[in-house]
Amino acid sequence: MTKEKSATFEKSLEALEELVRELENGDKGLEDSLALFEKGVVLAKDLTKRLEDAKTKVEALAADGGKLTKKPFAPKED
Amino acid sequence: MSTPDRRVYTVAELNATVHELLESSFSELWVEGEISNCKAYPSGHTYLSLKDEKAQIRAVLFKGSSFGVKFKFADGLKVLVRGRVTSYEPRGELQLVISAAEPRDKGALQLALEQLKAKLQAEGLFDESRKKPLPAYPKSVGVVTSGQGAAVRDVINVLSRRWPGLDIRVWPVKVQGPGAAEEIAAAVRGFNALAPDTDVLLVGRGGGSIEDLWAFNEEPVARAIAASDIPVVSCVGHETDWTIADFVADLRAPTPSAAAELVVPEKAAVLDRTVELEDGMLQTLRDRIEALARRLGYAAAHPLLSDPRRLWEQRVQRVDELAARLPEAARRLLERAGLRLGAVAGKLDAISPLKVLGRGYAIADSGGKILTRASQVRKGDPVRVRLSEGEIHCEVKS
Repeated sequence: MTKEKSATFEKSLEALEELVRELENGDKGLEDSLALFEKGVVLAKDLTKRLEDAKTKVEALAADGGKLTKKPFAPKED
Repeated sequence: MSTPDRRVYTVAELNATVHELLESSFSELWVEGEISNCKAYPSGHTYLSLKDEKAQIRAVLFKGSSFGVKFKFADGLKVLVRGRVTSYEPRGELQLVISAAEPRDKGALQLALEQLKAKLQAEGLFDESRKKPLPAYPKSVGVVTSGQGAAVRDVINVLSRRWPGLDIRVWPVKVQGPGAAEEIAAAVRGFNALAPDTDVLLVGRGGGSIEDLWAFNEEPVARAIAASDIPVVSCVGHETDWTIADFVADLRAPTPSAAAELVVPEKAAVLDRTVELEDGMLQTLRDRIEALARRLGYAAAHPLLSDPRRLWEQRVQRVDELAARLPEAARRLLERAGLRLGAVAGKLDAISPLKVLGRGYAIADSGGKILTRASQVRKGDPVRVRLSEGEIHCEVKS
């Protein structure tokens, strides 16, 4: 699963969608279909977990002499 | 020092006095200026400022006088107006009440805007074909706007609510006043040069007057957006007017929070989609197994498997069927033979000697022998002559 973990969210979701299409095509044998299904469930769980666990990071960027500087950003009040 | 004749005004009295003074000391006059902050109210009155390089004055065109103005007031328009100088008492504001107006040349700002727009358009910077698609699931969103104020807060709120887990990168810039356009342009270039892994950029600010938004109409901003490899969504808070930044950007949103809504999907919707896909898989699999089970059921219940007698029953029936077909086949065979016989008989008829007699020939015989030579008979022999119809019995005379 490490390989799928490192894939982007978009790629994983696409993979899941493709998998469902393959299943729906119905030209796979039962064993292959079951294997696809298992893979799909793992993907779906992973995607959900990624969404649930996500933490937003807000940074302020600036250029300092051509170098990027980053610091946590908190919007000032007006 | 007590001065019994000291007159103390209330604010209202003072404003009223100034009002009277203004109204009595000016007759109607003509003023030339550029319209700004123009706002037409549903009441039909239009409020605006008239300005030139050095100063501005509030003005109003009441509904009742609007017949004296044959064109629509709009920001940036240079006009010559006739009006009277007065004040708006509750606020002690100097005000020009317009009774008539004529358009002058276009305002310098507006003209500059139109010229720049035409130039950039001619360069193809607004072409649809240049527009880059936005990523469906961005990991990082860059924001070029003021570091303070509602706009940046709204953007951060909307982004983190809709799509948690984002890397939000704010590049705070001055969004109005001198140098703002250059700062905005530098930030867009900065993202491309120093943080090129940013998936999409929001460039904009909250709403304001046309002057406040002006930086987004300036060439450096347009050029920086056009040159950006990272897709740019413009969001200059103005529902109606498009800035040049809007034309150059890959996508235009009317406000920064609207832009935030556009660039990220909604977590809840994506979660629903995942659940939907999972359910879909489950259903497909269930259907598949049910279909297989049905096929198995049919096969097992097949008469051949459930009652093997059917195997020979079939064959017996086949024999019966063939036997029944036999007489019919024989009949057809005979029929075909009969037809052939008829054809042969016809041919025989064509060469029959009887046919030759029909043409006037005759067959002569004597004592059952067909005569072909005169020497076959002698004087006094009987000869039978067969004609086509009937026969004649004769005697040889010589």
